[in-house]
Amino acid sequence: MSKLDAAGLAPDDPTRSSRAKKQAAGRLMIAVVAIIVLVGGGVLAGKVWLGKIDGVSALRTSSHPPAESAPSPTKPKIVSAPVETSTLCTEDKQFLWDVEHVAFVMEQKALPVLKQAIVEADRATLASFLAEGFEGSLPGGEWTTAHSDSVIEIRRRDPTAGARWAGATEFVDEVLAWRGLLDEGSRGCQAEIGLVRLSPQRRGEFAGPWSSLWRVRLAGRRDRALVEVSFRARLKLGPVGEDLGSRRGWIQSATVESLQAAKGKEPLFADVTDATGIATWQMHDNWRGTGKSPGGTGGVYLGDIDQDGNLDLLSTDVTYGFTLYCGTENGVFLDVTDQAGIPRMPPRPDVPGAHACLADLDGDGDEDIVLQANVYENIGGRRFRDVTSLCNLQIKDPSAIVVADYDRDGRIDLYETHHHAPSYRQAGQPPRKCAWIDGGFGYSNILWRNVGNWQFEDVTDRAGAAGNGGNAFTAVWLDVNNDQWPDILSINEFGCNALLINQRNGAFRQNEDLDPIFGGFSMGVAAGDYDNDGHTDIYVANMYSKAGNRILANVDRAAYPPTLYAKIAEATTGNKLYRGLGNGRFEVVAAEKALREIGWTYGPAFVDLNADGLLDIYSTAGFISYQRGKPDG
Amino acid sequence: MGKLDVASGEFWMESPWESKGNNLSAFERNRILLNTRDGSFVDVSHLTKADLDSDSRSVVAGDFNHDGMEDLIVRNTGGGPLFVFENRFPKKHWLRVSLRGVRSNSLGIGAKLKLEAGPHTLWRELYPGNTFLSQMPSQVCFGLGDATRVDRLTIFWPSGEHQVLEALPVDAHVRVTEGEDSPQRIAPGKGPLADASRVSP
Repeated sequence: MSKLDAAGLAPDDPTRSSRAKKQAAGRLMIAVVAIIVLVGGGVLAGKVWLGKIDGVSALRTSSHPPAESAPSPTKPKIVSAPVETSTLCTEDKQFLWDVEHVAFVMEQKALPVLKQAIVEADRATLASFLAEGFEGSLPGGEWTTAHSDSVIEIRRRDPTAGARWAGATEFVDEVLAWRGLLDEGSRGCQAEIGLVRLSPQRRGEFAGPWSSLWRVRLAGRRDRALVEVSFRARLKLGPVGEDLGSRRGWIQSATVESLQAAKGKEPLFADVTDATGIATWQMHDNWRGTGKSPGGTGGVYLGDIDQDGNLDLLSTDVTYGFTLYCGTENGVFLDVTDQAGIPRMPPRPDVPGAHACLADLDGDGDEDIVLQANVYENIGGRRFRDVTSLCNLQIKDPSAIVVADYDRDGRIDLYETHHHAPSYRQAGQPPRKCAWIDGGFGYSNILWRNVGNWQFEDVTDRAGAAGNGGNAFTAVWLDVNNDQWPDILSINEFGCNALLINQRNGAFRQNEDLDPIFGGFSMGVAAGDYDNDGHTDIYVANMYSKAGNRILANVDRAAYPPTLYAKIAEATTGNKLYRGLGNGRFEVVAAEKALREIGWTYGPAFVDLNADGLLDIYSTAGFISYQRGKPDG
Repeated sequence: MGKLDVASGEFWMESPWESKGNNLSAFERNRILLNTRDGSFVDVSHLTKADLDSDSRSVVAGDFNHDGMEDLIVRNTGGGPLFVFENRFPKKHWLRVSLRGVRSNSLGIGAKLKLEAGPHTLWRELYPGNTFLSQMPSQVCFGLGDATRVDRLTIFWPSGEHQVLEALPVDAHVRVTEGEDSPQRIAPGKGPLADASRVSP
């Protein structure tokens, strides 16, 4: 009996959206969804996605195909493009489910005991997990400094420089020595163990030996200093199963593949939120349990409205609406929403979203505001005038609005990206395609050319600037080929990202080389020259999950056409740093140089945090969090 | 193998957009990667205390307290909706540049800036990026490290003009007008928007 049967879930359980998609797209879509949910989907976010919505229908319908359904009367018929499809046999799917179940048991029953034993430096409990005849491989070399300045020290021990074998006692001693870099007790140290891989050594032999990869992190303090010790270990395990919580002695060997210790004299940032005057209590917070958990709740938009040298903040919120904050000399923000003439609630409640942009649309030298579908003219930095009725912009349900002067005529143009909802042009029309792995809903972006006097021309078609309909969360303008003409990178949730090269004649040409295989389920993007070589680089925030990587490692790659497997694999590797070569081409920076395994990431930033002239990276992460201590994907 | 552990949240069946209590890529920490000048980055997240495990979506940077160092605003869907993080890295020298286009667009959006200070050359493009539900300010901040002077700032304006400035202050915010040799120093003050907070429209 499958786990789905055990859960008593009916095949018609999926959500409205998945049902609509299924009805509209028919068998082709289902086949694709089966791949994505059972592999890519699991890869996206972990086992939770395995059981998610479409997975239920996909798993069932792949063995019991449904009759073709008529399109939903309320949804437009989706036009499917031919896509490469394949699916797993029932046995393979069951295998994945069952391995993930063991991972779940390990995460719930065994790893908490291990983590506690490390935190408490409980030698006996730690040793009890090691099998008789345990062999450990430890980095044999000395600590070397990877980075050091007046406040930070990062040291590493490189196992490739020499490893030494250790028995159980010596191995535990060594781990506890690393633990000893932090203060005693749970106040001084917290432990995390990420289960990155878990597989039976012989496929399907659950009663035999297993292999696993763990990412261990000890974080806390040493006196006043902040300390973090992290290492990855590849483990061989004895038989593992339901009794993992009570049985010990199942770790047969462990090879430590990397080891890093980071120490900082004092926190490099201070949370000063409460002192800024920003009314965070008037912002939606899914963790407060209001019943709704939107994937995006609001945005933050910085500008200098009155050009007084203090940055001002426009805050949008799906529940509490808009707030315009005036920045002051001392870092306090004043709420000037009403006085400045910005509505606190959407003028058109039927227009959802929290999207805005600040841009000098009338060319008078100060930043005007586009707020949902409305446009506000900045009057002397003191107040705003609603000029929506004078302006022919038709911004509708964008995912982002980004600004540039693409034709270099002196007027600021707008690029409106689209994710789950069509622009004004496609409203009511069928999307062009609906494949999951490298398709998307097919909603094109819009390029608005500013022709002056609040008039804009939709030049999307003429310019070839629609992107490729892969659900763009946002886009960045940048000059990728050093010709000083603004190019566009529109990142896609599905498929490859769209890099559009400005042809200097009002048109763009898509460069297909950026992501020759796949993008990476992209959700955010920043551009900047991190190596100061004069060529702008790109940092793209993609999905990564431990569980997803576990699942993919257990997939029989022969079940897929090689090109499809390559796309799935590419889609699981996490964030990408693309180093610009200055000729419109990029190379992806290796994982050991720029951490890729961050998580379900959204908007990142290139920002020089320590003012050394080099752009650093802040990467946001985390999708939906509810219960600590439960599997987190 | 074992049965589905529904009570513990294993394999749930709802739409992730309408989740009712189950984790999905949960409690992931935001990461801060420090550029080490050799083409690589090191993870200093824990050392910053800005590694929120909230469900974060957006981050923007700016100097809110005028000490030259970039502060952060992080916007989340859960786990505290918004955080302002004040930069506590050791103070270094800096130059912040705003632009005033004449032939170019008014704020110089799309300009490329090249700053030379001692052995270092820094390159920036001025685009107020929206990395996701956000917008960065229309200005460029150059961290100068220990350099106490700027040798040269070259601005490649969107108009096609390029302008070289040599007499530039450090630890200052300047506005460069296209074609004018003398940048205007911007001292943070109280602008008309702050007045608006006290005066009815």
